[in-house]
Amino acid sequence: MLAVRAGELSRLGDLFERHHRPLFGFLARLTREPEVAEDLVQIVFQRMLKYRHTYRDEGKFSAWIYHLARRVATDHFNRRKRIPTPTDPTTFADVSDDGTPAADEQAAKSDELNLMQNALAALPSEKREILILHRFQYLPHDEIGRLLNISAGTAKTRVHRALAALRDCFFKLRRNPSAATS
Amino acid sequence: MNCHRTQDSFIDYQTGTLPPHENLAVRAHLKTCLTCQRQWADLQQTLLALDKLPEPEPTPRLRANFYAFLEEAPLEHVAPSPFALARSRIDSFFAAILPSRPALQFALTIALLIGGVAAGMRLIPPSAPTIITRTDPATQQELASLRARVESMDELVTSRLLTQPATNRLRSVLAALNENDSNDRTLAALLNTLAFDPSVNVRLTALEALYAHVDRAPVRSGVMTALAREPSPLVQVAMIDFVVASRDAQASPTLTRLTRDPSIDAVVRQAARRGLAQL
Amino acid sequence: MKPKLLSILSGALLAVATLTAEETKSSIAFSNPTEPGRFSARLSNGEITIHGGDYAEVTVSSDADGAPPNHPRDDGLRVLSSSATFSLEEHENTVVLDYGTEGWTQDSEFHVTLPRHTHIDIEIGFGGEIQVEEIDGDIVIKNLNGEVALRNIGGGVIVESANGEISASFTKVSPDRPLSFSSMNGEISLRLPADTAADVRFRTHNGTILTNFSDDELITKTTSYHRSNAPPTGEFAEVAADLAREAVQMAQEIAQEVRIAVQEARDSKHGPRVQAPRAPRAPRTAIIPAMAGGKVIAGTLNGGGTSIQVATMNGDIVIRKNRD
Repeated sequence: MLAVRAGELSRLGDLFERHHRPLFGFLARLTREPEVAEDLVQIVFQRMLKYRHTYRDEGKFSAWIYHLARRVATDHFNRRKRIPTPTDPTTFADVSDDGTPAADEQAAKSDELNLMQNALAALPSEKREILILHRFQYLPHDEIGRLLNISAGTAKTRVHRALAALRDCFFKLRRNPSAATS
Repeated sequence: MNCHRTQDSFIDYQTGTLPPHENLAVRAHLKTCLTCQRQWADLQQTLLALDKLPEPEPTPRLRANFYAFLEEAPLEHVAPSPFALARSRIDSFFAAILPSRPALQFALTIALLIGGVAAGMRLIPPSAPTIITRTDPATQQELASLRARVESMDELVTSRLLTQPATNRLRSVLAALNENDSNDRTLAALLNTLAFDPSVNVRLTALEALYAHVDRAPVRSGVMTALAREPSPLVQVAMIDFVVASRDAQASPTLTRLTRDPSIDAVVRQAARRGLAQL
Repeated sequence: MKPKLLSILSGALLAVATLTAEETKSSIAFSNPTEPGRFSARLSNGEITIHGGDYAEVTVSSDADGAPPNHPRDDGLRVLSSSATFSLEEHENTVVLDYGTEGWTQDSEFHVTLPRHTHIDIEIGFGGEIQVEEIDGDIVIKNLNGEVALRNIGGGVIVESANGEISASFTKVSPDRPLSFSSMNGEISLRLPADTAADVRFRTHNGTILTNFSDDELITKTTSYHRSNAPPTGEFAEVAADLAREAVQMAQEIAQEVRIAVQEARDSKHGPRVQAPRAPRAPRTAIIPAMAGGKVIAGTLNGGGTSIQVATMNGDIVIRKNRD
């Protein structure tokens, strides 16, 4: 097999150090399962290594990572659809998908955060994704556009709509917390 | 400015990216419109709560797994150009069977198949794997002459595989399968195809063609060695079927190694386990 | 022979709902249109649809940009394009469509029309949907993710896919145009003319093999491993090995006979040179049995002929008869 040169290995290591946190954040928020997200991050880096020959332009590197990440996430969701995994009921009651464990810490969290988590979770996945990309990954509209293959203007509109939907959902839940079904 | 346009501009208004006249228009509208004020307040609250959401933190497992992957098997995840692929598969195939010998020496064992059954039998006892360990001077000479003949074995394999489109390569293998050709040259070609062809379909067909010659020790060893380096789970499982059906005792260590290799697909490992149970 | 570069015919601006996508259309001709040419598409990702027909040339429409004409402006400067571009070149009757292999690119759609008898070769690195229709040339496809749909095909086919359904319908299946499909995840379904004569080999690990050909048309031998009612495994493997040995034996004997016949022909002083009789086809060897789980079905359709091979890990294999 073609030996991966030492330089390439250390380069991948650098990329890992630089990019794995936002990548993890993105996948964790998208899947709402931090453990799964860790595995998906691994897969993204594996694909980066596998397809490194197809990437040349340094400048758009982080965009390439998101491109790969979205595909890995899509594959994950498709697999899930085909082979439904039994969902653990406790993952719904406790919407603390921030990676921090400890049930007692959860009690300390304000209701508002929980409400927001639920509202975010209740959004359709495309809206949630574009919100995550814009507000948590801080991607500018034109980059989001390139990633989703839409114009920057359309990306902006979609972010607006997603925020509006989130706002509606958030306030609906605020008025009626018991409506937070999953 | 009406409510609809105002609300559409909220985000930009917030980030201060509205052109100045629109900025003023929004501000003016907000002063007097209760509905929009409400919407604005709601949006602020939403954004505040949203931004307060904690950042997901990975566990140490993530880093540990990544560096483990980097160390262990970066090779198996590489998908370079087809030319490099053929070259690299040749190298690893050789490295697997003769870890301390240069690649060309292994090409000789293939050449021995071409050289004729008699010559092969003298040098490779029927029950031994295709590894040349100790040889006497007479054999050395014979090897040297064979070496000259297959100096470009590497080139031969690579060029033959890559200049032919997949359909032609498949046809050649099917011809061998249908004619049940036990000619040594054909067997060598089939083993080469199994080890080096870039197409899963062609490799699988080569394996099926080789099954007719499962009683030949070099064929069995060749398949077992190729199994260790085969990237496609589909072909791996078929190879496991092959070695198990051959009842070759040599298959056990190969299969055991497969069951223990974490980078191998779970289904393949399970197949290896099932196979071991029958040996 | 210098390769011919593409000629951009027109760039049409299409307004599609809320998107405006600029569509590029490029055409290129084969050096020798009377001979079946090759069309090779190398994409990193994206969708590609190919329509065969009575076309004189290869035409590619895409929402990606065609490579700009590579000549400098009046001031001597060349425009460098930074957006996603594809290139279309012809060399000795092979047309190559290249997209994204210089660097990653966003998904793009490609619509291609070309002569019906062209041989097709598609490789998509990351994956995308592939559709090929009305082609009589040989088709080779390598895809990572995405559906592969082939319709009204008249030639040989090799499809290798990782994830995604493969479906293929054939107008014609010929003895020297083998069909071979392999996939990791996804159903593989074939639609064949009712009178197709083929040697079939199906292999699936976690799927089911289904067909609407009758028992008389499709005669099969099943070899599979069932934990519960398997024969003593040693015996099974031995039988398989015995069959293999027998077949080798027979082939060797036949080869021997042929050699004798050739020798005799050479020895005869008078009379015309005798053509060595073509060795009768050795009996079909035993198919590699499924020893490690999974199902293997081998057999003949309508007496045997074209080689049809289908192999999948997780996915059903469905073989249908064309209802004319």
